[in-house]
Amino acid sequence: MLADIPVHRPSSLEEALALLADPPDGERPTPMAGGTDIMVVLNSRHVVPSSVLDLWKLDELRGLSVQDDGTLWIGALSTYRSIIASPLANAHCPALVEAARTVGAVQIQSRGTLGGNVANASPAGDSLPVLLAQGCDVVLQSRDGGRRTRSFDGFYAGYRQADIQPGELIIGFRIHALPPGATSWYRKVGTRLAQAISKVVLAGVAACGDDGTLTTLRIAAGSVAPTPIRLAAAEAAGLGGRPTDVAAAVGAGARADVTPIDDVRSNALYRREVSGRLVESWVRSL
Amino acid sequence: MTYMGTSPTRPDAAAKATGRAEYISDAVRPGMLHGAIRFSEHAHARILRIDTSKAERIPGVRAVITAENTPEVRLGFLRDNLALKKGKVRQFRDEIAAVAAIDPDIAAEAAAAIEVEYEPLPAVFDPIEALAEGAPLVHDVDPRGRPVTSNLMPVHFRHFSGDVEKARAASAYVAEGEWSTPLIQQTCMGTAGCIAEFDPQMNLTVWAKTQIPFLAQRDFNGALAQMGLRNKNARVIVPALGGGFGTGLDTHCYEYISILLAWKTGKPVKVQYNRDQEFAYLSPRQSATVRMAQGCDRDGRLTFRHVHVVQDNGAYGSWGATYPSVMLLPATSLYRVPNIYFDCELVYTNNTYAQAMRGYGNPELTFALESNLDQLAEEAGIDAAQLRLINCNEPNEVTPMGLKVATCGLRECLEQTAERLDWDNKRGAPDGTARGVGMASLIHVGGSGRIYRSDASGVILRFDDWGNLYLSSGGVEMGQGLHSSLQIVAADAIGVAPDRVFINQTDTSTCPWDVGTHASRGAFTACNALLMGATKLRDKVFRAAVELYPQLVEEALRKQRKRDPDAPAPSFDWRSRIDADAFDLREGQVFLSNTDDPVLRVDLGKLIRAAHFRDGGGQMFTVEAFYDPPSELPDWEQGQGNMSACYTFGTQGVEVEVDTDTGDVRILKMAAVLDVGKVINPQILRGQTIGALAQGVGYALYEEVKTERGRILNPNFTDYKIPTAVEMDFPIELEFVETDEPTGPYGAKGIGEPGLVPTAPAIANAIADAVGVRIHDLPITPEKLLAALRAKNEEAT
Ligand SMILES: Cc1cc2nc3c(=O)[nH]c(=O)nc-3n(C[C@H](O)[C@H](O)[C@H](O)COP(=O)(O)OP(=O)(O)OC[C@H]3O[C@@H](n4cnc5c(N)ncnc54)[C@H](O)[C@@H]3O)c2cc1C
Repeated sequence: MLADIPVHRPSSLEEALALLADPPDGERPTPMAGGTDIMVVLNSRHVVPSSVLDLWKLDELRGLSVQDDGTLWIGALSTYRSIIASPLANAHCPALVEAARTVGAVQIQSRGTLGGNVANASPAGDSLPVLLAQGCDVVLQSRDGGRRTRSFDGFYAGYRQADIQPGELIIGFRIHALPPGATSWYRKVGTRLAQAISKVVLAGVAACGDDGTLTTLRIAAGSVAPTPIRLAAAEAAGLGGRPTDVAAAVGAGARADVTPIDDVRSNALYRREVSGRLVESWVRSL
Repeated sequence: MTYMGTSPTRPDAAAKATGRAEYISDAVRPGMLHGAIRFSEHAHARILRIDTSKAERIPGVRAVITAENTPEVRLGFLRDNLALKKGKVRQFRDEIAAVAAIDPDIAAEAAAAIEVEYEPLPAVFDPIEALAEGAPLVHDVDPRGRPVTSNLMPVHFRHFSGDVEKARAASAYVAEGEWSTPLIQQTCMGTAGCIAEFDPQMNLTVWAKTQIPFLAQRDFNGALAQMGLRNKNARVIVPALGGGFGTGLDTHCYEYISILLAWKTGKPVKVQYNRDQEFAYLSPRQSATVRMAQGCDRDGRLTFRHVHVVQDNGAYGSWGATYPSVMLLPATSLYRVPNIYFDCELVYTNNTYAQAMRGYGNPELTFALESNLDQLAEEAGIDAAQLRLINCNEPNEVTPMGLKVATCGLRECLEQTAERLDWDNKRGAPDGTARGVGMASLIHVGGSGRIYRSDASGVILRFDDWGNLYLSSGGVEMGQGLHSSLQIVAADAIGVAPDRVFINQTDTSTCPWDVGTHASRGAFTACNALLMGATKLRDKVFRAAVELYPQLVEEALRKQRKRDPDAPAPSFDWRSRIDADAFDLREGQVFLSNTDDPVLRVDLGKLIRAAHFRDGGGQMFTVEAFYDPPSELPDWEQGQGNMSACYTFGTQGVEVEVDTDTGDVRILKMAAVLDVGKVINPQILRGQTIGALAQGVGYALYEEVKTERGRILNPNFTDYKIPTAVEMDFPIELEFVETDEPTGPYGAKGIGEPGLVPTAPAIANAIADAVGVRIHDLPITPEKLLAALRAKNEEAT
């Protein structure tokens, strides 16, 4: 029974990392932030962890701030709701705020965390393309290994494989500053408007030089490959050109970049086509 | 009329809003055990061996049953299903064994510990393939053991009138096509479950999530007989229901299994499905394919309609197999068509077996009919609303099926819908946007539907000593508001305040017979029975008043004189007016109808007590009434007969916008205009209609039980999408046309189902108007729409 699974409730990060390094019952507990992914898994009874490490009390992992270098710090335990409400997030990473608004519905937004979305490593995680497109570093920590910072690009080695080492927790994210004059973009295509898993989720950052040609073009997509991906061919097709001139080529690049599958929610053809069309429409609108 | 057309707080509102209503999932009996069922892992296989020994050894298990150690219990109106399967499984959810244990977890663990060995058999999942020669037979013998040669079910519904071939040849314009509709789930808020309990005399009580308590009693009594329990009776009690939508029209294997487990263990046994199980193991609405052709002359008058339906029934027959009985309504009688061909094939496959759902075949057929009508309008170059108006049904007509339509507000429904959509400006407008409007209409039974010999409802009315009215009806409140309608009609018809009307829990031991709450009949038949009973009850009261009123008034006058010696005498000579016909009863007071002098008004409770305690033999105030609507049981082979006392009509209009990048459809506005006869409770009518629209939107755009070789791929709300409040966040204009139906209680027609019938074709027609492509199979997903848009563009370039 679910209720029989022991739960540890550390009240400091130190205590939490110690529990992970040195589990009292020998088996490493499974971290739980908002629980909105993990409870679904537990409920299905496919996986039964030996114990759960409830992170909810770790206020150290909450909060948003802007660093001296202009990066936006978001604690791993920050909920979508706190991101939506944060003036800093709205100013420095508006696409993430848009993404947060499309996650689940109000209940999930109040409980689900950015750290959970990243650690859960679903290719359909809605925040992930935003972090990829804008650029971001992940900060992790373990008792024995101390703090470690790594780029979010390449964080997933494969389907549902996040670079989180045994004993580590994600502490937070450093989201890179948008280049001067850049705009960002976010678009989710779900199976319906609310409470829906993405069929395609896209994010982009773009800036044009004085001559009107694209000097920055970073596009990322989710639900179209085993991990969230950067759309390299699309970016290459667009950089240096005028948006209206290159829009079609960027769209074609996006169609080539994605490697979607058929599943119960949609099909590969649709995902590829929609990725191309939406990217093309966005670039055209720049 | 004081309460008709108003919305007093419904009697179940507070209990439901505060979580105090007792649904089956809340119900507990002393000493109750929990049942769990072991389902098949194959779509079609021989059962070679069932080993229950491990399950039996698990502590807390009280019984493990299979077809081997229990009497055979057959069910289904075709008797083609067994509570526990013997020899063979025919679908993934076939019940092979069951366990009763002291808690649900142990029961589930034990059910999983049962070992079953199968020999897989070739299976068939497509109804057309199932009809091909050499297809695997789902049932190789009939219930009597005689060999069967085809997967065609032995059920026939047909209608031929006029000469369709001649009419087709003579038509100026013809349009035809094929449409299909998916398996969908009823998605009741309250999931299925029951408790079965035997008393020491071996009489049975079943708490059942049913819409047919009395037919369920008959079915359960049949099971008792099959179990060798002769001369025993089943009592059916209906708890609060969180929606029915057709799932309670049949009795189910899980109910018989809990009966068998209760019989084995001597304890009450509950079987309760959770949401996952409801999706996986409860019968959905069937899928159907409809080939439809219609033609018209140069002036747009319909000349013929040709309809062929193939219905995938799954592995067993439920009442849902009789969908074509209701398909006949739109097929023969929606708009005026002189020449009609209707035929259907109901096919057994190894898919999950299907059952009834709201609309009962009507949404399936209307999707094809109304989509096809738009195509015909296009062929003929006639505006689609105009084409419908040209062929509109009118009051006092008899349709080719023999439906006697007395009141019919269809013309007004069509006109109002067009007006509310700004049809003339928006339809076909090449405005550069991907917006469009569409409409579709409906005909449905409005005065119950006779699909059974009796189509009746009984009512028992009783006044207690305080003037409270106790009402026992066999009709089932499942959230639709039946009890509110009964309160309102009782209040007006009998003359007590609505909150003095207490409605007894539906229970076969205390309530009078009712065929079941389906076919939008609940309020229509129960309120008609109530009106009959009301006359009897008032008559009883007034006859008692003839004797007792004088003394009660004298007493009141005496008291008045005592308080105020100068009080004026009554304004008229009331003694001379005493006559049963002169009395009235309003708001719980009996008085002579021609005065409102307070002294001359006698409290009903007082009068009843006086009658009750009268010297020399008192009396009680209990009456019963039985209403069977003036309708005919149709001849299904001929598709002839006036199956309902009256007919509900309506039109729905939709404005949509299509995102041509993603194929997403956004509804901008809906208009629904329904001929309801008369509004009983406007709040409930609105709720019922908006709920139906949401179900219609789900049917049109989102919902589908996806299967792969008979296995359900999306048995959960993560992947089975119904509209949420966000998808329904658009203006809905509702309008109710009151045609005052003479057979209806105070003029009302049944409106339980109709709201969902024309929604999908209205949306499909609006999409076609918006982007010029027509999707023929529901749901209209962005995937299908985008593919169709691409195909259209490729064709154009
Ligand atoms: C109804 C519903 C709707 C949803 N809708 C969406 C949606 O629209 N879009 C979307 O992207 N997701 C959606 N989700 C999934 C989920 O809400 C999100 O992925 C959410 O961000 C998960 O965060 P959490 O804090 O709840 O994670 P948890 O469930 O607590 O954890 C998820 C995983 O991350 C690990 N973990 C959590 N925090 C850390 C940490 N700090 N360090 C290391 N590991 C950690 C856990 O061990 C676990 O493996 C939905 C879920 C539900 C139930």
